[in-house]
Amino acid sequence: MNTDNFTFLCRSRSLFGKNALEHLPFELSGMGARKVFVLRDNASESSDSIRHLRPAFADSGMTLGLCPPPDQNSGTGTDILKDCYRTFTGKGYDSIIALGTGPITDLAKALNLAVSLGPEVFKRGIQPQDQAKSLLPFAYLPTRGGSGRESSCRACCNAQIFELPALAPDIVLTDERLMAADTKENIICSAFSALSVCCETFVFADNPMAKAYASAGISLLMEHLFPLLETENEWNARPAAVGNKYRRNLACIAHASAISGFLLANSTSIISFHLGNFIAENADTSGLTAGSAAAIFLPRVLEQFAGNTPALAQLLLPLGGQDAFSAVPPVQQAAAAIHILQNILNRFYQISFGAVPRSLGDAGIDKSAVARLQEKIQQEDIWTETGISGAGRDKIAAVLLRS
Amino acid sequence: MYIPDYYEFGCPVNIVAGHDSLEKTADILAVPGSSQPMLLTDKGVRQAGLADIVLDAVKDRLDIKCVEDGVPPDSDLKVVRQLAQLYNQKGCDSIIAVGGGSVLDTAKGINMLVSEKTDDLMQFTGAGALKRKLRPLIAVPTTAGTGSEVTIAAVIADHEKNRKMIFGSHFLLPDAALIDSRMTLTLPAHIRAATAMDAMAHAVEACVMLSKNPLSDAHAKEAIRRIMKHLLPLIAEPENKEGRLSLALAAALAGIAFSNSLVGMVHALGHSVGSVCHVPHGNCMAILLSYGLEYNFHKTEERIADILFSLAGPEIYAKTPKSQPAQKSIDCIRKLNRDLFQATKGLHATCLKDLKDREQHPMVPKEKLPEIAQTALGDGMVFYNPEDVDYEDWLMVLEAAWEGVPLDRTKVRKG
Amino acid sequence: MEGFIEIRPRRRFFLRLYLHIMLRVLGRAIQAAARVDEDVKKEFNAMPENYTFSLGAFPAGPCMIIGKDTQGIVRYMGSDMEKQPVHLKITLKSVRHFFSLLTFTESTPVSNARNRMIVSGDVPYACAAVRIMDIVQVYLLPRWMAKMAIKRYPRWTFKRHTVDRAKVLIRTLLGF
Ligand SMILES: [Fe+2]
Repeated sequence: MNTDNFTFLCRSRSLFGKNALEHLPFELSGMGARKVFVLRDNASESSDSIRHLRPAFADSGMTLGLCPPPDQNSGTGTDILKDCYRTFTGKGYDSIIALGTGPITDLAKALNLAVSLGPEVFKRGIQPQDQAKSLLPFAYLPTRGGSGRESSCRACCNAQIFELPALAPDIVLTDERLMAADTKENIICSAFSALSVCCETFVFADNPMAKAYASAGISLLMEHLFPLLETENEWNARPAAVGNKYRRNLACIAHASAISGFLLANSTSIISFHLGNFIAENADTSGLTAGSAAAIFLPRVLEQFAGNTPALAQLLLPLGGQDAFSAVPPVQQAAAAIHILQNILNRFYQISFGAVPRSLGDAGIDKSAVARLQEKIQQEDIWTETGISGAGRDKIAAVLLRS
Repeated sequence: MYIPDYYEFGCPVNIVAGHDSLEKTADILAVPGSSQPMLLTDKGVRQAGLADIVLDAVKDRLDIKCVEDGVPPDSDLKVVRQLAQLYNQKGCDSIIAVGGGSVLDTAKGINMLVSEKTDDLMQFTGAGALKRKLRPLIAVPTTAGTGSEVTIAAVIADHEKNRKMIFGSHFLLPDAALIDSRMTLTLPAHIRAATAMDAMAHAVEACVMLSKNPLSDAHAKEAIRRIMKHLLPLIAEPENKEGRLSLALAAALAGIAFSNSLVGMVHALGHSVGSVCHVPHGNCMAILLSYGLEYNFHKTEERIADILFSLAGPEIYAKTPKSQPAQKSIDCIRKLNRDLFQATKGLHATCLKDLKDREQHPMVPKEKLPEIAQTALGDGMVFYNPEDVDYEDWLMVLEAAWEGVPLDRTKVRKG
Repeated sequence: MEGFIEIRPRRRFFLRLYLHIMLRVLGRAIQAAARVDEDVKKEFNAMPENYTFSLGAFPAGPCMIIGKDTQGIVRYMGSDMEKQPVHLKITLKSVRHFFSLLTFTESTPVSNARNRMIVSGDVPYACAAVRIMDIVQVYLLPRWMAKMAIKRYPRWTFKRHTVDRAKVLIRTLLGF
């Protein structure tokens, strides 16, 4: 029996769908913004997102400051941040938009820290008295799937990690028009990491609010991932003309990814997600993305830690829908849920001609490599922040072996 | 899954739930650096001993500056002004609001005045008039129904000028909602039933009305499931604290759902019955919910069918022929009402004519129905209703609900 | 910073022009309907003397003001918000959303359900204002278009559909 003893907070508001962009001036000015500092990455440049952003702000009376996409050659991250900081404060901006995914949102969050709490924050770190301070209005506008971290309350800046509830974006706005063409590997990576986070939260969190977000995220992924990737016949074909259907589906994946970020902000121990990132960093094979790895671990983690619990059986509901759930007898529901997850991998293995691995073996990680990784897991203290105990680590090692 | 072309969703309230969540108050207030709250409640809540439970839980670590129980059943501008003055005089730095909708609305009103350092509330009416964060406010709901701890709106009546001021801003939301199973222990059975049906109406309307979206659906369906599972057992055995907490959470989930996707004609009509005949909101909701579904049946059959799974569970869902689930959903809600009628020994009315006040006089005489229908024409919630409703339509629904007979769906006018 | 540009997005001329024209037509049509149609008359009669309401876009987009003058006669009062107090404001969150509304690609209920409208003022009169605009749209638009713009196409008498409609259209054109 779960006891419903929990706290849950999702600071961000989601704005999703058609003409969403036109809501942004109203929302930002509702938070007191007049001059908006816009950061964007190269992907958003390719989707020509500024072309949509400008008219959305027409007639709003607000001013936009457009930064060029950060160039890899123009210096270190710190240089770019300093540059932004000078421009931002010098010209009196009062709010931030991050247009794009991944590093650009980290830059936006770091900039928000610097301009709201002062640049000393990078030396002194986050102090308890900072917890209550509010930062400047910050909107995150995904142009692709994303990793989920964008909408969480963490920022990574030069290997320093900052965590503050107010760092989560005030607004996550997903507009189909902003979606950029992306490689299938990237889309799968985003979708799979979101799926892992949502599924694990759904099964392990004794928290109806988190479960509600998670189940919506899972349903979004289940309904839009396959249509998105099956719009073209050949796996290796380049993403050609980006049609409306493609954009709509990708927007749904981006939306689910943002939802997974809300959940990441409320839970530290999403095992498959962390394990996926760990493997992607430490394994010797290239091409195994963190998302793919997380999806490989996900069914094993659920089996290992949730076994035949009612919570795992319930997972069939968002994965399969109401009709499928009520068709399966209760004793078979847990197995059916695992089966669906495994089947997703198998199907992608097939349609990608083996490019998406079903197991660590497919990804070229052999038994000896697994043994080395297992050792590393036991030693390293990367798990302390996730709060997983020694026994848990043994179980994780077992997960690794069975994957 | 139904995804509308456009939707918004969010609830930036820290939800803290448990059997001892009140004890976390000091920690939550410590984050913004507050330690001298005003405790705001009403006489009923105080008499039930709930304010004392809160005081006991927080007094060691907080310096409660004043405990005020003068909030009237519907919030009042004069009271808000008085209490705001008191807040300033006593040097409070935050508010803990213990109670139902009117306590929280009053607290929101006080918070606007003291944070913006003014005594004119008028300037904040309408949507989006506030531009920055207010002072800390913590909500402790005591009814498991209204969901006002997670709604952005506040309604404050100006009795002198005889009008209602409506406020809507994300800055009005409390910083945290403490959902504690102790708060609903002493709730009388019929009030528990009525408030839970209010939550049910929020959840069901959120799933059926025009602003339905995937995230509000997920919240609403979980709320429906919990109410169906726990409400009846809890009437028989209120000591079950897991059940109480689950039901209180259902109310919060339903509140989150409807504050994002809004409610329709059931609430429009309910507000009107409430304001004309002074019937408690929950009772109106219990009676009117099924009629709202019947009225919109031709436009929302699929949506009504979709909630059967949460209402009746997978087994009944699987066994219901594909042509009947929507009707079955409506039957489920009617059956719940009848069961509650039995469980509360007749105190939970199932039709308008059965509603009685303390002296056993009928609360809704039939000759009042035209006045109610007229009032309903001016309720904004009807905007979110899928089908249009005019004066004759309101009257038709009211007459059926008064008698307690199902609505004749063939008589509903379709476009 | 190199490559940094600061812009103040300009107003969109054609969008605004269209809205100005449509608002003028709509405003005159409401004024006309208030003289011809019994239901519209009734709605206005319930409003207090000197009551005005506006339909516009955030933050200072095109708008129209309708109100009763001191004699209780309904008038289209142009678009100058400074000239008279406005008691009820219906505001679309952007000019673009306003455009969708007045090109009838997004109906009033849909626009409202998508949270694109904000109402400040007395809600009962806002309901009345929406009902008035619904009726006026039925007068102005061909049946198939009006069906998209409102929830339920009303069953009117033949006279209302023909004679009254003609009266409203002529008065709208001539502006009295
Ligand atoms: Fe309600």
